[in-house]
This record gives sequence, structure tokens and C-alpha cells, in this order.
Amino acid sequence: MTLLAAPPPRHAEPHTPHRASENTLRAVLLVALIVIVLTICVQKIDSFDNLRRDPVWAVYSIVVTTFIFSRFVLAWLYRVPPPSASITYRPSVAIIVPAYNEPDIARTLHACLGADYPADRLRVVVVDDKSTDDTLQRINEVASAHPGLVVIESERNRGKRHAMATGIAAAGDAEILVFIDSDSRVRAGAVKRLVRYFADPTVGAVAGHTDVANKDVNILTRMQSMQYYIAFRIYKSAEALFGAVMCCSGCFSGYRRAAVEPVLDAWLNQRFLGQPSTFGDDRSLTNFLLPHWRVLYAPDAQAYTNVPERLAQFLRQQLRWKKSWLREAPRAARAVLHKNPLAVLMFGLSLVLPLLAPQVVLRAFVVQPHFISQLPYWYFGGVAAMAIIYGLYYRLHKPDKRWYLGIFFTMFYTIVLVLQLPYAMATIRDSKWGTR
Amino acid sequence: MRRMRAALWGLPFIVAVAAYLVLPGALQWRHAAALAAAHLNIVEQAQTDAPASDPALVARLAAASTSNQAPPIVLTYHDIGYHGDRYTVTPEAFAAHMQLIHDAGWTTLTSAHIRDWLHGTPLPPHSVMITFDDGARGVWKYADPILARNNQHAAAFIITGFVGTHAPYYMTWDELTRMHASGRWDLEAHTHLGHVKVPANAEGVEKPFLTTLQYLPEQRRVETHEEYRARIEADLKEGKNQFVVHGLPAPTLFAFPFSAHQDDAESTEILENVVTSNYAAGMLDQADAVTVTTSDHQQQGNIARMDMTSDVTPEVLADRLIAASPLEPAAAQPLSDTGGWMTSERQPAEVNVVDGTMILDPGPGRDVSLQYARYRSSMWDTYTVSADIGTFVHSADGTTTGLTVLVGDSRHEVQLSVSSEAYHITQGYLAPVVVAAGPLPPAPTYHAVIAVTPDQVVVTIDGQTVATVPVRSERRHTTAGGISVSAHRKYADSPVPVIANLEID
Repeated sequence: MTLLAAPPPRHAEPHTPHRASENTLRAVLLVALIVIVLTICVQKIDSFDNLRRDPVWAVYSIVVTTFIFSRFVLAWLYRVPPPSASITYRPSVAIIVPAYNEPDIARTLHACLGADYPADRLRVVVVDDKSTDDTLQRINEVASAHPGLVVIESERNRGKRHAMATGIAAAGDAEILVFIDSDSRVRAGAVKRLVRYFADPTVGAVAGHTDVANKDVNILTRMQSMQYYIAFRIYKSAEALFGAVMCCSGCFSGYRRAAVEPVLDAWLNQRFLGQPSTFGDDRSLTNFLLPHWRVLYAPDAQAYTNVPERLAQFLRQQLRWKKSWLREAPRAARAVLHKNPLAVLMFGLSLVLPLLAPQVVLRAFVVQPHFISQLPYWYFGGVAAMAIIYGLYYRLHKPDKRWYLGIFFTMFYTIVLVLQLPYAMATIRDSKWGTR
Repeated sequence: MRRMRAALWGLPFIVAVAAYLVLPGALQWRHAAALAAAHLNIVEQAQTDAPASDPALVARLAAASTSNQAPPIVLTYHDIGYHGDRYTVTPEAFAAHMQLIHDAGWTTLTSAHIRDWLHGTPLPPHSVMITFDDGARGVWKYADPILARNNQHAAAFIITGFVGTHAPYYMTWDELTRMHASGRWDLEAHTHLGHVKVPANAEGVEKPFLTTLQYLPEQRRVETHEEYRARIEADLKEGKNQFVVHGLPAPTLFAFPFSAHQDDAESTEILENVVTSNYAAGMLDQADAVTVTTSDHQQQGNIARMDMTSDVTPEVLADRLIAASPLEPAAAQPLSDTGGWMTSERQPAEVNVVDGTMILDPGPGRDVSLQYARYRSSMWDTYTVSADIGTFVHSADGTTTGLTVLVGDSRHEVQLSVSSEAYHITQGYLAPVVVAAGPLPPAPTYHAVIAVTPDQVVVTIDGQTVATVPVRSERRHTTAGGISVSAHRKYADSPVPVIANLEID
């Protein structure tokens, strides 16, 4: 019906061919992965002598390696709860879609409306934040076919955060609020699966799994596809093990109304150094919930989003994310103190290690060449090893053609973004989006 | 105005970020500098076990002869390790060599011993100098711990321009500094960047840096002798300077790369001058053979060394050391020690001794010349040799029998030739000069006594001094050598030359 009438997705999901050679390839890649990991371990053990020679950097090197590997282990320990316990849990749900100048809004709304959830318990709310293009018109076209769709028109553009709040107000008495970005698309069963995690009354928020829809466009989007996959499957799983997912991303996340309502005003009126916060809404809201609620990750609740296809656009997005990461870091630190000590440790490392990165680069590119005539091959080797491990892990789970291109770009990206962090710090007060 | 305010607001952030980058960066820099100072560029040393020495070899080596009139015995190693080439001795083989030297009670010489010897101080008995050329890593990694265990000393000849390069092949300055500090090592010179070959002509034939007039392709000519001198002098001086710059004592000995020390006469003299004016001695190499320093070597300011290659077993080492061990003149028994003779071609000679008389029959129309204990007498400069020289029948019977002292000293050697009713004394080997000649009363044999001192050679025949030849030279060890005998039969019926009662004191 309407779903069929929807325009075909701009970036179709590739089907996954499963040939005999695929199994062979996977076996080879798995062996390669094991060999690389073992090589790194052997190298670390072999260089234990450095602990005596240069304890500061030897400890750093061991900590970094352990940190990277331990996230894989923690992620592996995190398990999706068995559906049996929560199969009958059907709270009322509101999907809230804030929209601003979004060409793909119709497709997003169709996906929401097509969600596999009892219709009487599902409400879809779309908030047009005073778009300057024909977004509202296209929303209304969808609404004409779906009378159940709640359309809110903002009187003036007030930013995503207020659009979300407006959506909450229009969500009626829905127990669970599911936020979906206007350019994201959810699978039919995703909402049901996401909601299932709220059967546990201590859970305040759940991040869904988001993959990159436009990954086949170019090497930049391939790389981001890999990054997304690792960031969700590994990082968020590792955090979820302690109920401490640090950011329920705006693409697709669910919140318990009871958890959001008490903090809504504080969140809406949050300021940073005297200026209203206009980005990092997802990270900020998560931080409001973290001290009192468990925050989980739903690897089985699948959504897709578009990522920047041009480098400049990508770098601006990264800069925004880096700023919100920095701005929210003190609040996140306070929030995580309520969690498991291991979660505190992992959070501490995830904060300190990136902050040390400029010094690592300085050491590899200036200090070591100067003092011991050593070119930065350890640094490149380490970055490459990490990129390859992520790449192999990604390929083992997602049969994706030309997956290896992402590895090369990840190396470039790792080094370039290190330089972006100081810039983000220096301009942290600047709240411009760059794009929207 | 608003822009100004915004910029002012931004300033503290920029300052803070600069501090965040620069302060830890400065700390890190200081940390790395401190580490670089404290942790040196030194590879870990490897210990090598030595097999127990063969007791028979130890006993033979311990019984080797000694003398005060002796040159240093010097061994040259290059790298110690497992490269598998001829000039790399394995750590195990080197350990076995050193163990043997240690177990036989031999001592190892320092550069100071060599300098003292050059000024006349005799060397300790049963001593050998261990040297290494080039400054390869294995010297530090393998050889040093072996020497330390045996409490032995050695000298390393360093190509200063290659130190720390071609990692991990050459040793680093840090390792050299550590070696010097151990007191176990003398660090000596092996050129700065002269351990290479240079083009010798337009065809691109390459020859050793130090002994070649270099071809200058831009000017299509070989360099002049002046340019040659400037080039080698600059290299040798820089080599010396590098030691001082790195806080090490200036080297006093110099090893010639490839043992190359001779070119055309003029270049050779220039090189000799440059080396001797900068160093106490130049070190040569000889592979696969016994060799010792002669007065001719010393005349050029050089000391001979024996190359130790990968095929040298402890047996070969012991044989060479024993063969090079000096003989005390008074202990020499030339007529009973018939194995000690050698032809002028340095081949072992069969000597026919009957009832204490040496029969020297070269055959009609031919000569024979045999040298006694060539490698063990090269530094003899104080001894007396006596012999009954014959056999003569009548004047002009065609037989000449001779006795020579200071053999191997091409400037000073003194040859006494006796024929029936005449004697003939010459000095020098390459261009002999007649220093005395005269008639003798008819007799079948004559008793000749030749007394050698560093000052003169006195020849006496049947109690009459027939010649006093001055041999004094300005430097020690440039007048020295052992003895040889010679014979000539002109005709088929010339009597057979014999030498009886040949004794040395």
C-alpha cells in the first residue's frame, strides 16, 4: 500500500550474497585478524623492557592497546535480553521526528508509520522547525494519506532541541518516546525491538543501532560506514554492559517519558558559557538520564542514516561532535560516577586518551625522529593495525564489497582528526552548525 | 564591535589550547632529552660459552719460547657474529681462541705496551695483542663479554665516519664510550671515511682510498700528489678529531684499510709521512699465514698483524702463535733444530747436518740460501754468531760459503762471503755495498765470528777483526734480524760448502 508507493530508497541496501567462496574468505580474514592481534600482543610482551627504559610511554602504549582490545571483550560480553521476558511488554509509544529542510522526510515518515507495532499504542509525531523549503508541504502530503500522523508546525525556527520538546508535548501520554532523525530510516521491526528493553523498569533510555545508508557513494562514506558499525557494535555495546551508554544518538533512540520529564526544562534551557546549547542534544539528554537510569544499546533495533558525502561537510560534522563531546565531558564524568568502577575507568580512558593524542603525534613525528632518528613507523603501524582490526571485524560481520577502502581512509582520518581536537577546543564557544 | 567582543572572548580559549599543547609538549621534550642522555644507543650484549680448551694445545702454547728481542704478536679480527663470511668469526670460535690464550697463561697487550715497545721497553713474555678492525657491532655484542670474562684486553680500530651507521652493522658512540670506560679497550683509528675505494682512472677501476691517486672525472685527470696529501691528511685528522669530539682519548695507532699502504714511491712516502706524523704506528694485515713485524716494517713505521679468519681453529691459532714466538739468541740451536730453516722463498728447507756439520750443496753452478728461525728472530739486534766456514781446496776452486746477520733488515744486513783465500763483506740486501774485502791465508776452513749490536756489526775471521760496520739507526727496531747461511759452487769439481760449529750467543 503506501509503503509500496514510497519512492525507492536513494541508497538501496545491498543484498548479501552467500557463496562458498564467502566462507573461505571469512576464514582467511578471521585468521588474519587473529594473527594481527597475536602479533600486537607478542610485540607488547617483547617490549616489556621499555617499562624500565621509558615507563611513561611504555605504560601509555600498553594502556592504549588494552583499552582498544578490552572494548571488544566488553562488547562481546554484552548480550541482547531474551525476548521471552519482554514479549508481552507493549507500552504506548510515540515516535518523534524533528524536521528542518529535509528532502527525505517522506521516506523517513513512511518508515515510521510502517513500524511493526500495535497501531493503537503507536503515535507518530513530526515537528517542522519552520523549514525554509517545501518540507512542510511534503509532510502534509504524507499526513493526508495517514490521518494518524501528528504534524506540528513551529511558529519560528528554534532549533532541534525545542523541536524535540514540542514533539514530546504532542506525544500525549506515550510511555516511551522514540526519537528518529529526519534523514534516518527505521526497519519495520526496529521500534518493537527497541521498546522491549524498557521492560526492565530501571532502563531510562536505549540507543538503537544505526548503519550508514549511503555507504557505497565514495571512500568517505565507506569509511564512515565502518566507523558507525564499530562505534555502535563495539563502543556502545561495551558501555551498555554497565548500563552506561554515553550517547543515545539522535538517529534512533528511545527514552522513558518518566525519565525525560523531570529533566526536560533543564535540558531545554541548557547553556554553555552563557550561550544556549544548540547541538549535542542527544549526548546532553543522555547525560541528564545517566545518573539515575540504566542506558542500554539495542543492536537488534536497526535504523539507517545518511552520512556526509563531502569531506568539508564531514569535517564540520566531526568538529560539531568533538565540541559537544568536550562540552558534555564534565557532566558525563559526574554522571558515570554512579556506575560500575570499570565503567568509570573505561570512561576515564575514553576521555584521557584522545586528549593525549596531540602529544602522541608530537612524539611520533618530532620527538622520536629528533632524539633517536626513528621515523614514525610505530605510530603508523599502530594506527594501521587498529584500522585493519576494525576493518576485518567489520568485513566479518558485514559482507561489503570494497570494504578494505575504509581501512585506508580510517588511517588518514585518525591522524587528521587528532589535529581537529585542539581547534574544537579553541572554538568551543562557537555554536554555529556549519551546516544543517 | 560585536566581532571585536567575540574575538576577545575567543582569546582566552586560544591561549588555553596553546598551553594544553605546548606545556605537555615541553615536558615531553625534556623527558625525551633526559632519556636520550640516560639511555644510550647500546645493544644488549650476548654471553657466549667457551668450550674447554684442549689440554695438549694449552701445554704446547704455554711452552712457547720467549725472548726480550721480540716484536709484538698481533691478531686481527673483524666482526664477531654469525654472518658466515670469511672475516666474521663466530662468537663460539672467538671464545675458544680467547679461552686457549687465557688457559695457556698468555697475556694480552694494550696500545700502551706497543708504544712503550716502540721506545725500547721489551714486551711481557707470552703476550699477544688482540685487535678488531672496522668497529662492527659484534665486537661490542659478543667479543666484549668474552674478553671481560677472561680479564683480557683488546684494541678496536674504528672507521669513525661509519660509527652508528648502517644499523645494526656498526657500533655506536655510546657503545664505544662504554667500552672505553671498561678499561678493557683501546680505541684506535681506521680512517674517518677512508675505508672505501676510489676511481683510479677514467675506466672506473676502483682502488683503495689511501693508496690511490684519485681520478677526477670533471677535470679528466688524476689528482696531484699535493691534492692526494691534502685528501688523506684531512681524513686522518678528522678520524682523530672524531674521538676527541666524542670524549674519547685520541688514537695512537692506525690500521690501514685493506692493509693497503704502498702505491707509487712518492705517494707511499707521503702516506708514510702522514701516518707516522699522526700515529705511533701503522698496522698491517696478513691473512692465512704466520707473520711478525720486521725491521723493514718498522723502518716504514708499521707493525704486522695476522688476520684471524673464520677458518682459524684453536689448533691453527696455537700453531701460528708458537711459530711467531720469539727465540732467545742464546737458546737457538741452529744445527740441531733442523726444522727451523727456510729457503729465501719462505718454504721449509731440508737441512743436511752430519756430525754437527751443515752440508750446503746447491749443485754445480748454483746458489743456496737458508734462513734460520725467520719469524722468531726478526727483532734480534744483540747477538754473536760463530761458525767454521769451509770447505776450500785451493785458490779459485769456485766455492763460496757465506754467513749473514740482520737478515730481513734490507738496509743493514751484513753478509760475509768466504772463498778460498779471500773474504768479501757487503751491506744491504736490495743494493749491496761492499764494506770490506781482503785475502786470507790458505786453509780448508775459517772460523768466523760476527758480533751484532744495535750500533755495529763486527766481523772477525780466525781472530782477526776484518770489518766493523756501523748499523746504528735513529729509531729502535729499525736495525734487527736473524741469521742465514749461503753457498755457491761454480764448477762440478768445486768442493762442497759446509758450515760447522754454528752457534749463536
